Amino acid sequence: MSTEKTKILNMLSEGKINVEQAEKLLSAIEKNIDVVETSDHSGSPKFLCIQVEPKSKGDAEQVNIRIPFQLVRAGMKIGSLMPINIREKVDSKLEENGVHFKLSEIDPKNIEEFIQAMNDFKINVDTESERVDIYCE
Amino acid sequence: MIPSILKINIQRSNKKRVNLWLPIFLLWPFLLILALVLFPILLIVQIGRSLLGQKSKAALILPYLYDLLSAFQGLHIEVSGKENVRIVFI
Repeated sequence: MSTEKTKILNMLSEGKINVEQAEKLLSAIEKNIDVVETSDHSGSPKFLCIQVEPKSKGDAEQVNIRIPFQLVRAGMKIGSLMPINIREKVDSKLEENGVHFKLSEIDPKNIEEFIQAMNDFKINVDTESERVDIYCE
Repeated sequence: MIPSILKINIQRSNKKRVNLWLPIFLLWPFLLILALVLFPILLIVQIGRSLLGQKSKAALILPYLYDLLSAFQGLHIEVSGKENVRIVFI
C-alpha cells in the first residue's frame, strides 16, 4: 500500500476526515496513478509545439502552434505513395537549395521510432528580440 | 475521425471580436461522394498496373487521405499581435 493511501486511512481512523472524503481522496490517487501509468506506456508524444514570444511589446507577433504528430504520420504515408521519379526530383531540388535531406530514403516504418525519440526533444532559442521554444507534449 | 468544426477567432484591437464556428461536417457527404467516385478508378489503376507487373499503391490513396484529414483534429494555430487570430480544428 502506498504511503498516501496509509496517510488517508490514518486520517480517517483519527476522525480528521469522513468516509466520503477518504473515498474521494483515494479515487483521486488511483486516477493519478492511472494517468502516470498510461503516459509511461504510450511513450510517443502527441503534439509538436512551436512558440515564438517577442521580448519587446511592439508590433511583434506572438505565435503558438500545436501540430498533432498524427499529421506527420499521415503526411509520411501520403509521401510514400509518391512515385520514385518524383521523389528523386524533390530530393534534387532540396539538394540544389542546400537542404541535404533525402526524402526517398525515409522509410515510413521508421517514423514511429523517430516520433518516440522526439519525446525529450526541446529547442530553446533566446535572442535579443524573441524567444523560440520548440518541444513535444 | 475527420474534424467536424473549424473554429476561427479574430480579435482586432478596439474592434469587435469575430468568432466563427465553421461546420466542416457539412463537407463530409461531398467527401464521401468523391471517395465513392474515385474508388473504382483507383481500383482499376491498381489492377491494371499489377497486371502489367508494376507495383502500385493507388488503392491506398483514399485511406491515407482519410488519415491525413483526420490528423487535422487538434491542430491549433494562434498568432497574437496587432490582431489576435486563433484557428483550431475540433
